[in-house]
Amino acid sequence: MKRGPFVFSILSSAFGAFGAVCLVMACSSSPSTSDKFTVSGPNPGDFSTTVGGVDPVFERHCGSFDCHGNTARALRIYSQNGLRLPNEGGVLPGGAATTPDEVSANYRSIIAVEPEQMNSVVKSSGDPYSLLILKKPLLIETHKGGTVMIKGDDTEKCITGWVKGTVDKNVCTAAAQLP
Amino acid sequence: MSTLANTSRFGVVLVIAALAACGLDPIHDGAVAAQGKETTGVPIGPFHRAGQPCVVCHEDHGPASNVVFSVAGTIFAGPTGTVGVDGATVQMTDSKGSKFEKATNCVGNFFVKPSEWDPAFPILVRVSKGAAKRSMKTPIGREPSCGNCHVTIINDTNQFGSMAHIYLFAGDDPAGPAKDCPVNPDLGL
Repeated sequence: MKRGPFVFSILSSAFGAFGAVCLVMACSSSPSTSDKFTVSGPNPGDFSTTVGGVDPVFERHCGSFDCHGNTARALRIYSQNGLRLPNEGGVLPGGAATTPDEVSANYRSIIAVEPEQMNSVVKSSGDPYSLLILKKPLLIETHKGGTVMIKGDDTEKCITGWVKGTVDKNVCTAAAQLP
Repeated sequence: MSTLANTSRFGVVLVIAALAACGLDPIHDGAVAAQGKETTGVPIGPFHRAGQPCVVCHEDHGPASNVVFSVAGTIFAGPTGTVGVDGATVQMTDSKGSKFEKATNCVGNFFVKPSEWDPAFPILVRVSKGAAKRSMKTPIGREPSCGNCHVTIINDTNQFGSMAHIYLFAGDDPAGPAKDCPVNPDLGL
């Protein structure tokens, strides 16, 4: 049985595809510094670990090791009882309280999921439910972690309120508690 | 020529489909291989591989798919040492309010089969024995193996992303290790 022509066909196709990729990369321009834009996220002051803050709600509902307390996730949540921001101070899982650096990293991580969309929603008082940080846990969009909140519960109200700039600290306090 | 090429392509597609159907998953295969060989003198069964992530193998596509677990793990006595706790109760509550309890065996292993309880994650877990009680401070999002997050060895590689093994007491189990256990409940780690 002669197989030569088929093998040659595969190789030439692969070579052609590789060449096309190289050509596209060579023709691509690097981003200009003028392409930068500033993201207007929800109030970072409300994203704290103080009572009624929003950070503990994300820690509690999203930050376990098997979910977003994991470096394999694009959305990473650092917390006292989950993933720790690498440090030289011996701050390990289960140890010291969530650090200011970790709160800051959590905020940036949440904003960075969809920076343009977040910017649009916050600046234009847009629909919070257009954001993945709500669509996923509400299962409006497929979420490997399943349903994490339902519309109207404390967790959903806390995060939606934060995005809208109307945080209810009592609701967020309740949402951060284990049942 | 055209017929020959099409036949060959069809063959390639069939081979790929067959491999996919066999569950070719290098990540999972790597996780299974990382568990290493069985400990000499510990037979395959309810007392083996204490402290390891049970459901890496005991799942639908794992090498122990004949015995699938929905939740499984090991409870140790204290924060230092790795002596399993016999007769600890693991209380679990799922997101729909369903509750289930399971006792550990003499090496500290416990395992729940889906036919017994098939939880809707996330779940909350509490462990107790006598007056000693410990509750997890976070829910378990979807991980059925305690040992995937709670590891027996913390090192430079995993120190920021893993929790130490689960323990129930401040030190040794006041009741002491199980006396009639068919295998040594002390992993010696």
